[in-house]
Amino acid sequence: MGSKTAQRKSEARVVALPADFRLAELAAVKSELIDAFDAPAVQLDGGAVERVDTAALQLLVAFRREAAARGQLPAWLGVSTAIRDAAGVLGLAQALELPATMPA
Amino acid sequence: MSKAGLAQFQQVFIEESLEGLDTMESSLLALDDGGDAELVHTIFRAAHSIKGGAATFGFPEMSSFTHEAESLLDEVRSGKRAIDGAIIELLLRTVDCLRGMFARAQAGEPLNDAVAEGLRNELALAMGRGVAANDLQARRSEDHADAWTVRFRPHPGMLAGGNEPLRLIRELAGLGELSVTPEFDRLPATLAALEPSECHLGWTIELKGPAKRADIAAVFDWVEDECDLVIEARHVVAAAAPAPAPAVTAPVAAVADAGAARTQRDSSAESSSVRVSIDKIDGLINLVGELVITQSMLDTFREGDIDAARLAVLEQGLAQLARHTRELQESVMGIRMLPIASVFNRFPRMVRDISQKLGKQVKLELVGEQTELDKTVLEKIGDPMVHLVRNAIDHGLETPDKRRAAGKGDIGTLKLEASHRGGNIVVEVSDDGAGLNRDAIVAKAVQRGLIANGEGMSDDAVAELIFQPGFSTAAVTTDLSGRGVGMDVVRRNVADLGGTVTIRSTQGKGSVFTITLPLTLAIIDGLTAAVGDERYIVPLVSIVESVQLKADAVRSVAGGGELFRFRNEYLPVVRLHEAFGCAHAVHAIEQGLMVVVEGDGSRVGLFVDGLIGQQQAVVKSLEANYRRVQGVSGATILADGSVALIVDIAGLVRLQGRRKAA
Amino acid sequence: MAKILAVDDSASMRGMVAFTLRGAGHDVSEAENGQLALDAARGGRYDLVLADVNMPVMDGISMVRELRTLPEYKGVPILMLTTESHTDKKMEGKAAGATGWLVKPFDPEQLLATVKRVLG
Repeated sequence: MGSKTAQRKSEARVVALPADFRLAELAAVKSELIDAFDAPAVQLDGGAVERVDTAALQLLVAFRREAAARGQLPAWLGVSTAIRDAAGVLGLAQALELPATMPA
Repeated sequence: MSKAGLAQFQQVFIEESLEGLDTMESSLLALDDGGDAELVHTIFRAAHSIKGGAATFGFPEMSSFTHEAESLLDEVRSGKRAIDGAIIELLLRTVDCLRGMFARAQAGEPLNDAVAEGLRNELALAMGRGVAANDLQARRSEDHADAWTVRFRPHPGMLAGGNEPLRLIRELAGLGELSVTPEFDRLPATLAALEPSECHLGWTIELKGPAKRADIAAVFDWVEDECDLVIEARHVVAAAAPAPAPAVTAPVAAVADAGAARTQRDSSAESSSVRVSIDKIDGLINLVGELVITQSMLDTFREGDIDAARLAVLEQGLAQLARHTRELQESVMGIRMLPIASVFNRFPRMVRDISQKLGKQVKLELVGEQTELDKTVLEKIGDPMVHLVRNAIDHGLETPDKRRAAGKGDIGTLKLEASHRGGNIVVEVSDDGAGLNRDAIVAKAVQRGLIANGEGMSDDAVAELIFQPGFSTAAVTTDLSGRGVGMDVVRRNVADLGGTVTIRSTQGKGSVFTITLPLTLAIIDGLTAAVGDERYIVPLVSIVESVQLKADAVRSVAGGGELFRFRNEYLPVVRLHEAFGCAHAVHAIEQGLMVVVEGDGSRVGLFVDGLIGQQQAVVKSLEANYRRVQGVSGATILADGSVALIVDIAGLVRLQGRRKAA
Repeated sequence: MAKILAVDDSASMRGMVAFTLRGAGHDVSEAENGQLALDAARGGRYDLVLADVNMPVMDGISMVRELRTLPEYKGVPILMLTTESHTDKKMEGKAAGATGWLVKPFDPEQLLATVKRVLG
């Protein structure tokens, strides 16, 4: 298993968040995020997210908290306006470590 | 969005409410007969719908009125109150009162009247009043502050119920500047342990800006029981300036607009509409689809030669087209068809009231309530039926002691039965009462000068006498039947619908009145008659017989009229070519045909050149397209595209009568 | 612009709701009772469901309960159209999974405001 793991470990995992990032879609995103704990680095791509709800952001908060506990530092590859707005309203921008500005 | 948009639904609301009232009434009556608890639910639902819609559609008076009835029903429904005769009586009167209110609504008159006011008080009295003070309003004290702290911790299930903290906090932001601090203490330590649909976050929200506690609480009104919520004022400005919370502004707005809404109602009151079930519309769409398929199939015959094989396909296509066209016609006609139940449903109440008044016991049986007939026919058949039913209870059915003496059970049976027979609707009103009294009828007819004596007359012929104008058999004129409306009017009303009324009666056993009606007024079965260059349609129901006469069978009488002998009676001749002024028509009696028709209770002979054939005619209104013409009820288009007029037999007969009298 | 399902056995009430919402640019479907609404809901995902409480065949409360068992309707706003006198009904609706309620009588403006409120 060694070489395969090593090969996989050399890549950063990108988790692309769906355009409709809401309750009904979260089961799939959750298992993808749990899988990502195996990767050395994780990048969250939220650039395509058009609709987002509290449950989705809560999922991301829980993911980041566990990742941090595992010594992982997930980075943002893209943050859509929808995510930024919702996180702002819920006071979660800091917990999600949203970058101050983001290239589109 | 203006109120004008609402007007179009007002008429629909009135129609469905009237149906709802019918349902309430029949269910109340069934309940009176010991029906089950489901009936209470049905009644409640009907009252509830009317109440819910009334204020929305600009009838706040009706809404508050129905509210009282609904509250009473709710207590019955929830078992807090037993239903008894008094409550049923009260609710029945409520139904009547609401019908009156709807009638006034359609006429644009004020809805409330003394009866409504009185009844509202009675309902309130029955409720014992004084329940359900608005504790919600009391709880919302009115303190103001210019800064608030809101602690909001949703229960885990809140998200699945569709309430979004995002939305709630955004709404709160409308009240002032927010500072939102999330709380993560309930969040599971691992992602795997998190059920994504559950909410484990909480928030402490600082709100800056002058706001009322009630305004903040209102943001969370849907989630009161789905979260822990603490609202604390940080700087109390003034305690309780006790103005009642403006929680319920809707009825006020509705009242303000009632006047405007009523004006719109006036214009829409006259246009009547039919509510059509989705099934019927789906059926139509389906058929149109079939037609399109057939059409495209036939379209392929535009090109190429037609050989035997293709001819067979063409014939098949044409047969299909004919079938679909017929089905489509039937379906479209079906849209105007409504179940007779709406007419039948008035009778339980009426029979109950009349029989109580007369001290008779009557069991009403309704059969074939789902039989459908044309809306126009349906609207006009009510009055004749009411008359027949009144007659049956008043004159037909006996009092319990008379029934016992005749060896019958105490309770008389009155049966209303509707059915399809051939191309007609047959409605029978039958009773197991005393039947017609032959001697009394003959005596009356003699007294009225209708006949010399009854000798040799068959029972049927005697029974027919009651349909003669001015005939009334009631020994005592009661306030029920003795309204100056005789059976002749019943017959005329039915005849106006293209129908007939007959009676079969057996003395001591009962009577059966049979009303036969056409399925629709939009299509008639008729015989096409030739008169000169013109074609006329004679409705089949009016035709008794057609005979070829010898020249000497017709005699001229003084005053210019002509008569001929037909089965022991002399009938006047109406020469259609004269009546309608047709050129090139047959004048000699022996070369033409005499069509004996019956209308308005009398017979005449229509003289025509000849009969061409039988056909269904789609009635086109002359009045709508041209103007009213005496002796003509409409027009139709023949297969060759020419127009044929439809003869109005009753009209012609009346015309003839007037001419004779002149 | 949202996909909305309006459920009411009263054609006038349903018509008013649908007419008003269509006027605001929404894509509105109609159903006459809870059962038909469920059938419609299974056929396509709606952003919002507005349902009367008292209906024949299947009432609004049972409909909400059934709807919430469908994974794709978790979290979708469902509003009960109810009358004020029935606080217990509101709670019953909530317990079944309704998001909130709209109190009859309401006028088009109130309806639009509430819908806007739920859809955010």
